[in-house]
Amino acid sequence: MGLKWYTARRVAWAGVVAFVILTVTFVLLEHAPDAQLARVQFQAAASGRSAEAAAEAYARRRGLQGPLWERYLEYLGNLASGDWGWSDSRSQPVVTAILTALPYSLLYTIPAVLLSTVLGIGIGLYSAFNQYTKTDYAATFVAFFGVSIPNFWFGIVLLLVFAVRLGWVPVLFDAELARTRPLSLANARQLALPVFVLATSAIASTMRYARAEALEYVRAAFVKTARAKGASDWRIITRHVLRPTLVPLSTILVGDLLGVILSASYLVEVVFGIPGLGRLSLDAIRRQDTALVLGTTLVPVFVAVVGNLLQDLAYGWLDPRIDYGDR
Amino acid sequence: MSDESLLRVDDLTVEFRTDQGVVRAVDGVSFDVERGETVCLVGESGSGKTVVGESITRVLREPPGEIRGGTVHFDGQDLRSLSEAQLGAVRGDRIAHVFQNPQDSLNPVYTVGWQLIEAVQLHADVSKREARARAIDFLDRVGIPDPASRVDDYPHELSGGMKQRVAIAMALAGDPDLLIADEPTTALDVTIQSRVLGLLEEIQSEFGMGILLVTHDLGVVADVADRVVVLYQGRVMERGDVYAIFDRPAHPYTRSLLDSIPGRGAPRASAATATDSASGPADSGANNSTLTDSNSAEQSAGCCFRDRCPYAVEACRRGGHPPLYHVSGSGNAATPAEAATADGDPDREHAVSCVHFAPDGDPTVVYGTAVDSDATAGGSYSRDGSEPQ
Repeated sequence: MGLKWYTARRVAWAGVVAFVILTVTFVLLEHAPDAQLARVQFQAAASGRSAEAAAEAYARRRGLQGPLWERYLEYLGNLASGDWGWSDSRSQPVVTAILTALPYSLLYTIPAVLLSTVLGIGIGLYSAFNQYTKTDYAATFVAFFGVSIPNFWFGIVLLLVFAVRLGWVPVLFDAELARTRPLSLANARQLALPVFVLATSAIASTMRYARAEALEYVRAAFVKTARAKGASDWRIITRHVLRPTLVPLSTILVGDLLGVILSASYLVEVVFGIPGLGRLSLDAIRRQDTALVLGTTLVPVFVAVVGNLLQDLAYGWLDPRIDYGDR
Repeated sequence: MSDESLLRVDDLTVEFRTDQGVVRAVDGVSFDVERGETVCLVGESGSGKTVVGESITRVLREPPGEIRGGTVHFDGQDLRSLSEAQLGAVRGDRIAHVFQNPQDSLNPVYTVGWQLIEAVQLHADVSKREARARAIDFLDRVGIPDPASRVDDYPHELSGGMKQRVAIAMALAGDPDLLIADEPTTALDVTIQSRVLGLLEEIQSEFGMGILLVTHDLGVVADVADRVVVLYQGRVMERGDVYAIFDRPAHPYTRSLLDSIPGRGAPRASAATATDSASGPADSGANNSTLTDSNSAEQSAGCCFRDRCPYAVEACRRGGHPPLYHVSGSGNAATPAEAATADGDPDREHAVSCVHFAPDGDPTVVYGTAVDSDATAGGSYSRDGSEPQ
């Protein structure tokens, strides 16, 4: 019993959740119209051959014949072994396409997530400790600005101002540069705007939640006790208030992370021309490349499953009152 | 400096800014605490006693609170002139606090040991191992069984009484000269109460520290106090030796407080009325200290207790709140306490803030021997017409 047992079971549950999601996707795929098949049939019919025979040949080539359960097992087996299918639009395996695009996404999402987490929590705690002061109002204004402004529009405006007018940063994202010299100053410059745009929106929500949560503890008796012990404000914030605040905040952080990966990345990558996962997924949808759509969809699914797992474990680590003994 | 008190609070005034205006929670409170002495701040809810306790080391939340005036001298040092960082060095080290509710006063996400070690290490440059050894020692000293294993428990694994013991252990960790205990036993059940009080007394005799005990429980006061300061609406109503306060309470408010102790049900004729008036309006109006910026002329004129006072006379409505008058042993001659510096320390004498104890007043109005003449002369302001006949 205890935390280890809980962890083991929670990991097993994550496996079950992933399995359910994969099954649902399989069923959806089974009923999705196949653009490739339609084209094969059309070509066959146009050139006077039997459309049905062409469809059969196509199904054989794609491994689509045989009973449903057999294909289902094969589908699961292939997914587990890393064979996520063939991307027709890119003429390469789906896994390769994803692995090629992923680093570009990580280049701006990791700094954006780190920045928004640290700054969001930091500003939130500061605001809570200085409630109703001018700095608190300023931080609140920035937060509402970040939440309200659409990412893609903000990105375009920033590009116009800083790239076109001022010329401080390049307008077009240079993928070659990002690939060969990811840690160079030039790369940092071209990543500055996408990171900034993503971070402003994520900082805003983290900051509001951190402020609200911390306010609950700023007035708590145990904070008064800490002050009476002679602890400095810095110590009170970083030791006594931060940790209980992180308990509910860890939920929001996982949500934020998903938000960045799922939706914000599409818009940001399109606006800034970054060949990351968002663009890959968008192109796959446009070209009806089913295998690639599936592959790019599974990435956030796994992030969600793993994120929720980590978050559940974080609860127990952050707050000892959360007991997993009898669950 | 040999005559210097350990703690000397002079004319302390604290205000709170609220949406309804500025509330004066503490208004010109003065008292002192000697080494090895227990002084009790007594009063009903909203009398400002907690605010006084928290203003001394400014653990009071500012804003909304704000210390507007007065001085706080601790061991010859002016605490009000210290910076936040300098105060941090005093808090926990020389002046320790124990707060009312042990359920909330420990951080729920850290072990008892972590919090004790923090208290030790904040003021003593010792290794973690040494601090832990001291933490266990303190737990042992406050009577926690099996301290070596309890030190790794989280607060939620302890009972309320144990938590308060931990809070006391934490307060002792800096070997303080003054302990400010704010209702330390109120949240505990009666058997635990007496044990915690016993513990405090034991520690006091062992460490020789001064204790400022904030409480509304007169039973506790009778148990542990050396001297008593009675507060009402942020003002000192009466102060003096515990025997003087209990045997010869002078202020009508103190008298009604004492009468409200169950079982002490007063043989005095006026007792019933006094108790009624103490419990009646107390619930509705008493915890609202005077709003200084709204209809202040009407509100702040005269004695702040006059509306609840069974002995109120015309004089009670005039001027400001009465100053503290010396209560003489025989109960007739009275002199202003502030002027009576002849025997050294005016703060240590039995003094009361009531017009009947003024040099030209008649204490017997309150003491009840010669009520008739005086009370009926100007006594139409008493709450109950049938009162002292």
